[in-house]
Amino acid sequence: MKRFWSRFGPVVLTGLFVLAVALVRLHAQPADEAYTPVGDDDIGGERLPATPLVFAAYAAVWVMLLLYVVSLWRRLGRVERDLSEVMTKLGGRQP
Amino acid sequence: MTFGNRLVPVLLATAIVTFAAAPYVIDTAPYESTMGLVQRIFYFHVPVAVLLLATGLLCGVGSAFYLKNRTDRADAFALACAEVTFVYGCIVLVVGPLWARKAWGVWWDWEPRLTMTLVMWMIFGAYLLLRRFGGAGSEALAAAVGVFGSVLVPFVYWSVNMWRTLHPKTSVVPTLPAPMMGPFLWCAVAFLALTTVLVVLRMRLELSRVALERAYILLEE
Repeated sequence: MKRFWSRFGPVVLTGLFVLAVALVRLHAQPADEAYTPVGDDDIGGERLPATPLVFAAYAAVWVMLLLYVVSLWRRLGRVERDLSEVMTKLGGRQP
Repeated sequence: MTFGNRLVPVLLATAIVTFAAAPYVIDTAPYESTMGLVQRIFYFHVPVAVLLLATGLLCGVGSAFYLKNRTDRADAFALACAEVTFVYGCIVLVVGPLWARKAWGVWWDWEPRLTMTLVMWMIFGAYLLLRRFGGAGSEALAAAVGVFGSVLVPFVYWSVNMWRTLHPKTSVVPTLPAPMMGPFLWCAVAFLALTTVLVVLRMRLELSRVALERAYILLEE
């Protein structure tokens, strides 16, 4: 037994070390979950500014409301003009 | 001069004054702790969303009344409410994603509140298409669609409490702190005045259109 360890001891220890390293690497965290350092300039690029979104939201509300009001106003004006013309032609008769 | 016609100038003046002052009133509100500036969208988004549900519900009431009594005024009221619901749906479905992009990190999520609002908006879109292209007699069919669309309103409202969603719950507005509640109520009054004006004017347009059709028929006889 003593002769075995003196002859194969370094080989067995080297084999155990290689096995341990392989096991550690096998159970290591995947790269996408690990911390990745970035430069100072890269952090600013990730922030989404709120100001354009708020302005876009308020502008969208106003544009859509104005389009609807103008459309309603024009349709109402056209129908009431036509109605008054037809009523004039009808004289006293009521539809 | 009817009550509605007397009401329009007063409500229009109220809407103009309150909307003109709205930016200054909103500016007095404090920033929300987690969302910051983007939360300012709330002061226009939520009143429009509440009135979207209110007009959707009123369209159903008007439609049901029309199906029972077949009066022109009920039909005109239902149509006016459906059109305003559709316009407010466009606003909510455009403004909401702008807020969501910053608050949730995505433009859209297929969660219950957003999905049901989209479905409701499409139903009222179908109502308007039916009225535009349905031909004679489409009023009754559209009224049935209006009732069907209004049934969705309670589901849209309570969806955030019933299911797990990204969207904030209905408890947000009643629990608003006073400095945020003031600007919210200010904008709510502005939109309520404008909505009433829009519904009254759209009703007037529809009643005038019906009168014009009948006048043409009388002229041809």
